[in-house]
Amino acid sequence: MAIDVKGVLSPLSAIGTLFEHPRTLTYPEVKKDIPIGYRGFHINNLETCVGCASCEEICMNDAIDMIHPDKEYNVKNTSGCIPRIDYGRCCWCSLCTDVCPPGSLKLDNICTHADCDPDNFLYMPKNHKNIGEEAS
Amino acid sequence: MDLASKLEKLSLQLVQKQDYLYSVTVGFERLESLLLSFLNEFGYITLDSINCRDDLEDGFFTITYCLQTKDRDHVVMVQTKIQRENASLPTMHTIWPQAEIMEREMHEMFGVDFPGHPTLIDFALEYWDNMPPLRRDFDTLEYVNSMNPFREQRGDALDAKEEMKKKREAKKAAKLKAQQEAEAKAALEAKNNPSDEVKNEE
Amino acid sequence: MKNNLKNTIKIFHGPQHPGITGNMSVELDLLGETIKRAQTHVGYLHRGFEKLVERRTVVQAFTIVCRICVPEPDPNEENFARAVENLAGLEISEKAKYIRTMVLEMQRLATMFLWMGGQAGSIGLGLIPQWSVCDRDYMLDLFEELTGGRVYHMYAFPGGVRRDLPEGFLDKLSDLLDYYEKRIIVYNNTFFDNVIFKKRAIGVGVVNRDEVLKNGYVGQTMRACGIQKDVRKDMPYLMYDKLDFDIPIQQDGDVYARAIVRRDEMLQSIRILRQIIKQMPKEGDILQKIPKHRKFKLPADDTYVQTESARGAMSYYMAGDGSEKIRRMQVRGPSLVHAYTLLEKLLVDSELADVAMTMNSLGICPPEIER
Ligand code: SF4
Ligand code: SF4
Repeated sequence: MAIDVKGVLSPLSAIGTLFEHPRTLTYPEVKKDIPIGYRGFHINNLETCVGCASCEEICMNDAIDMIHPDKEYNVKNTSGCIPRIDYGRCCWCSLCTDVCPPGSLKLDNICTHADCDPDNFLYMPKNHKNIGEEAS
Repeated sequence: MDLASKLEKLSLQLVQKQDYLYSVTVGFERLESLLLSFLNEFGYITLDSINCRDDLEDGFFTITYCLQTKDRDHVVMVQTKIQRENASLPTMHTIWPQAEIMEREMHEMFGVDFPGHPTLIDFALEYWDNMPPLRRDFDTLEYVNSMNPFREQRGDALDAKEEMKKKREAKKAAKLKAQQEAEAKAALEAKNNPSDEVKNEE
Repeated sequence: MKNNLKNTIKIFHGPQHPGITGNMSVELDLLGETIKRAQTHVGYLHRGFEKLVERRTVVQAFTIVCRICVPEPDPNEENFARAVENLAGLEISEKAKYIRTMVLEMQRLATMFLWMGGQAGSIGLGLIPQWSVCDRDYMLDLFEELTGGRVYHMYAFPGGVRRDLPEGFLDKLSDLLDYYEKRIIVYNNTFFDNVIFKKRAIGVGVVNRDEVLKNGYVGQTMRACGIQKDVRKDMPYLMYDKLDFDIPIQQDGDVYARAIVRRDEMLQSIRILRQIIKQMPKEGDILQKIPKHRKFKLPADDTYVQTESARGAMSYYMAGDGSEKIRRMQVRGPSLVHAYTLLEKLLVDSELADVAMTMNSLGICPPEIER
């Protein structure tokens, strides 16, 4: 049987990659840029959230609870409640941000959270002041 | 289309649903013979899928056989209705080998029986002893709640509708109170300097 | 048959086995190294999607269909969106059609790179998976920018797509395609022409050409047997009838032929993407709002849609009943028939070491067998 010379020799071209620049990042020093529009953790502009519970209604994973905030942020808030999200159930589908009427609920591009206590996965969206204005 | 006239001879009607999709509805008794003539006479050699739909309100299953010719340029859905109780269908695995696995799945998910099918064993759910799960009277939520507890920490969740009502009422009450207070104040002031009243009358 | 099984030993290939394509197992009866009987078992990944969508409105159900298949979620989204559009009679804009076609082709490339890793890894070429998964990641970076998610995009919404193209996206895509074209030459040298791969793959897992059409085999399994069929050409959807591409075929029907078909399809995908970049409309709506978004009612009708995924035709049957819920959605992926009807037959009288390779080349993906 004839030897497949090309088939034997051509894979050896892989040796050339030894001299190439590595494609990986040296992680803790160099971090990858997360693009704008990444679906990460929730942020909520409490000054504009009207407490309408549209987000709670559309979430099919039942991840959103409406609870009372520590103080009143928005006098126009009709129910006096703001959403809290259970990150044990959320799938980051961003349906809740799509339906939010004043556009106060948003997804940020921060996406790291590690904790050994499951209760800490009940996440209060960070209060972010200017997002409601940016959206409009 | 050629097929339409052929089916008309069998007094069946071909309906065009989408660009590449046709459907024909047939009675249960004629299903097997129609599928055979689709295969042998009309050239629909591929069985693409068999699926079952639970029409709970009307008490039957709608079975759909999706067939394709060797050109694979359109799909014909052959549909029939069978009773939900003791549902049973003729098995097609001798004609189309892939029907064996599709029928096995349907047996598990809907409880449709296939007399003569060699391997009606478990498909994906091993040791399942409840109702076939894709029947629509099987309630997933109830089943899950009976199997797994809900997380207790979320007990402080509020019903937003109730809160809205409460807040609205509170607002109304506050408004009323403010109004009353204002009236009382006005009355008090009026008593204190009657000269104002006189002025107003003028 | 019974006698043959006399002195055999039984082993379970999977569900925990690096060579298996996911959470499934193949029960093998071995006589020495030769397989005498093979039986597929699934059930380790049953998540009940078909049941779950019955409890949800259309908008809510849209977010879970992409989870039906992990390596390539987009054909699922496309099928779901198109089925709803068919039922509701929605017409989507040209720009949305182009974007969806583009996403499907990008997904095809990404899936092919993942497949290449699996195929090479299953015969012990450890270098190729490292490279190809890295190359796939560049595509995932683009997805991240376009859709906001790396693997599950939730992008093709009934009525269009959810976001517009970010600025400079098409240039980035074009650069990546240049890079991929160069890489495919490298993979040609190191993998497709590799004598190890040829020796292992040629003549293994030969699919009988006569039963292909009747048994409903699809995708590369069919095209490697010399049958030139592709849903994109035969029942064109989205923009595929305006794009120029070929359907690569091979004649031998073995693992090697399927690999070559896949490689040629990658080149065709690049060709399609280049045309899309050129033809992409600058202006246009991207999403036609479905009426009464949250309370949208699906008409009482049924439909059947097919999309060419990277592993073959993937079909959805969908029926509505005039309420907000979907009455029935059935998923028929290419893997169901491949993993049972075909694989059980192909493995008989082959060697134990070839199981993983054969499975990989058939494109079997357990999440979509049991849904
Ligand atoms: S976050 Fe948006 S949708 Fe949710 S309660 Fe506030 S305003 Fe309504
Ligand atoms: S992102 Fe999706 S799953 Fe998460 S809270 Fe919003 S609607 Fe629910």
